[in-house]
Amino acid sequence: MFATKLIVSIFARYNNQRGPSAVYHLFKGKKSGQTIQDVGLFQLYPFFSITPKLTKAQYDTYIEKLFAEQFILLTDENVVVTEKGHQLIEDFRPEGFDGWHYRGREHAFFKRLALVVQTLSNAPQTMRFLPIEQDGATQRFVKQYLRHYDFQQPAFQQQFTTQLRTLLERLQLDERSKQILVYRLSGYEQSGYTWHQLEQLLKEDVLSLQLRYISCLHSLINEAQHYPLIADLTQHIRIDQLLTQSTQKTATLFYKGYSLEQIAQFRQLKISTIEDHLAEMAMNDAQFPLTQFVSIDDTAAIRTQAQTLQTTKLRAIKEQLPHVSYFQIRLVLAAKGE
Amino acid sequence: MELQQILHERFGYTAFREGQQDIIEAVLAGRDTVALLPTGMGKSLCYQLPGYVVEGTIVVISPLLSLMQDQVEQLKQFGEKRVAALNSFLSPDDKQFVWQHFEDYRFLFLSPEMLASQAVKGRLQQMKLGLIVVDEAHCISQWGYDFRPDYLQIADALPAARPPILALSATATARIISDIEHYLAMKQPATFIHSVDRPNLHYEALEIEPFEKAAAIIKQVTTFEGPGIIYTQSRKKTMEYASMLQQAGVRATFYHGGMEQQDRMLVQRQFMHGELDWICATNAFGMGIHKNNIRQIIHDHLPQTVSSYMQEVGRAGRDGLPALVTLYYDARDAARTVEVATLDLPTDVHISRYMAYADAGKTRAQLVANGEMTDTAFRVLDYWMRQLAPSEVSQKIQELAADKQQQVSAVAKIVTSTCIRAQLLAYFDEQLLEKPQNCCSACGIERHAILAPYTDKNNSKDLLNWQQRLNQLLPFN
Ligand SMILES: Nc1ncnc2c1ncn2[C@@H]1O[C@H](COP(=O)(O)OP(=O)(O)OP(=O)(O)O)[C@@H](O)[C@H]1O
Ligand SMILES: [Mg+2]
Ligand SMILES: [Zn+2]
Repeated sequence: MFATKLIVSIFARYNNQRGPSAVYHLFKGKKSGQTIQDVGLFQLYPFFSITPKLTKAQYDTYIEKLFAEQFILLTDENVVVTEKGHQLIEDFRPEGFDGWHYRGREHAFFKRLALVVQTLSNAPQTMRFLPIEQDGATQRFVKQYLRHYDFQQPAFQQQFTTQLRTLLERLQLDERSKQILVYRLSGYEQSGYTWHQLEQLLKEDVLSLQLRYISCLHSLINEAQHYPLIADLTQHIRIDQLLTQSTQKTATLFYKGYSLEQIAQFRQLKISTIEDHLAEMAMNDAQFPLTQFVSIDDTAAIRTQAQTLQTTKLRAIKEQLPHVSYFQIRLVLAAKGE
Repeated sequence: MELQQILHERFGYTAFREGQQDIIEAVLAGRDTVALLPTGMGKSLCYQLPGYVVEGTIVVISPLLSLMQDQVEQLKQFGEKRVAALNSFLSPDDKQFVWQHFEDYRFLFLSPEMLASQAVKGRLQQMKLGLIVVDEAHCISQWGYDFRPDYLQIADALPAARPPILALSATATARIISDIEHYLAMKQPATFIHSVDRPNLHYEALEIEPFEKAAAIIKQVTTFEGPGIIYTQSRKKTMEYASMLQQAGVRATFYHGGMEQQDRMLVQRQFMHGELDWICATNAFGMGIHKNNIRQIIHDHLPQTVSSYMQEVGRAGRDGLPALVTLYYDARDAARTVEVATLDLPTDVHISRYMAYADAGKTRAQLVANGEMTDTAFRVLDYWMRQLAPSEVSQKIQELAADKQQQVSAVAKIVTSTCIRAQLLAYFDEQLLEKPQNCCSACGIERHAILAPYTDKNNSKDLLNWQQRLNQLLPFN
């Protein structure tokens, strides 16, 4: 049910202006202009790239159920949330997500956490156990961490446990989300549970469980700073470089003073792609020189139109303001500054 | 140092098992060696121990990712730090790390595909190698021709001045052995063949109507002790069996190649730790599974080859105690298995499309990207097109298909014979000298004499709350 509510609530944020695949691309973290721009436009940062491995087939079966249960319906190729859908999400507040800053990297944190917990859990009994994470980078990281803290000292084991428990207690999340996270961990002679096993025991579908788990990981990492033993495990997990790689290259050239055309030629990309990049930059960077592309008057006019028409559809705005280009409209809608 | 002493100090074993010492001595004398030991009898030791005698890296060519990882972990448990596996699933970070320390490893595990890469070849040419090991060497015959052609090209990838090669397998016929010697370009190999017989395995083959299979399996599982594995052919079936068993109160789950890596690992560990009694699996679950006390293996179909049947039933009874291995089949099974086995073979249409692409100067690999053929079919076709004239390739592929059919027939013939054990041995050119009691279903079998009855394990349906679970994992205050 969690996933159902989350998806419906995101369609509600899209304000009847996007098709059925929009949420899929958002969850996958698609790096196209449209998806990235929508993130800014509809304030969907928390949900960007929360399930990079989701398959279209999985998503489609889900969406079909939502249509079948009439939480959403299709009008002019756009998804509209029904009255029933609005009721469904009335009290729903998806807490804890911070997809924009993790984009799948939270799993690397979980691997570290899992291996540390497993080692500590085994420590009083044996040092000979098969590690649950076989990934070399994780193993090296954890080995160093454990050595640094002299993990066989009971004092460390206690502190670690206390910090993890207190941190989990503090998180503003459902008990169930925490329970899922903890059941994915393994210890001395007790292995973690598979998604399918949790699905059966908790009677909630796998996607919902996975989304809860992600929200729990995100908030765990975000709140870890006052818990140094946990915070140490979050090193280099958060992404603070927010532009996609390709956009970053364009940005570097742009701030060196090259024109759009020059950048396109130099990078062997289409102008429209470079425009996507600029829109992404406008969205992420409060310092973006919007006035270089759109006059202050036009900016104001576009914003006014967007508000009065209650739309973010480029064409509708363009019809009212024939003299501005689509690119200008996109930039204005993407830009953060008021 | 004496071999005995290394065995004891490094591995903590008191004595060699049958065959091990001879094989190790042959390898240390610098001879190419083919060694056949039954499943679970300790083939790994035959290259692990030389690692502490010879100079230079021991390169182990291994067919499966999970198998490599298990071997790496096993060596780490013996206190070995200089061990790594290089395969296409490594994260870029890991790959770089292994790459940087390449020459420093005592044990280096590679897939045949990795070995074929120019970069790896070049690196191997320049470093000191102590021994080259091909684990599960029957894969050369079993997979080389129609699934993983790089298996046929191992010899080409090795430096001309190479150390001895050790080929290990539990299941090799005379033909397979000669394939191994040929494709590895072995020089007057020493060959050690031990009986493939596993006297503590009791074989059963039961013909049954398709619609009765599931019920019979559930009944068997709930009548006799586990732990055990049910092998089936489709992912969907693994899930169906698992859910039926769960409903009958059995601690069971499923395992297949489509599951995410972490979940697969969890299932394996639950099984190892005895938190689960039954796994319903495709053949993705097998090689590399070392659980000592598996009491039953059940097949609901005819396996594709005698080798894979041996491998799969070979998971049972590794503690030396009796185990029951049961195969349920119906009349249409052979046809179905052939169908599954030949699914990925390239066809004549593929051959002409391949040539059309070549003529048009298009990259042939695009055939896969454009959805014209599967990855496997392309790999196989590409290999043969480079080896043979196009007209011969079509012929070759027909031969491969016929061969597959024939292998399935061989399995069918064995399980329907007058003594399964005797026929299995005969397939490997061995004669059965002594029949154990309860030999097989054809000779007559008394299940109760082999297995203890099923006991109901408490299959608790409730989860603890997170605080309680955390407290169980980390009981530190
Ligand atoms: N000399 C020995 N003494 C005691 N135990 C041994 C000895 N040699 C090997 N073993 C144990 O036997 C088990 C099986 O060994 P190994 O994995 O090498 O089997 P295998 O022959 O490779 O089987 P498979 O055909 O399934 O791959 C391991 O757990 C290993 O520790
Ligand atoms: Mg082995
Ligand atoms: Zn018999």
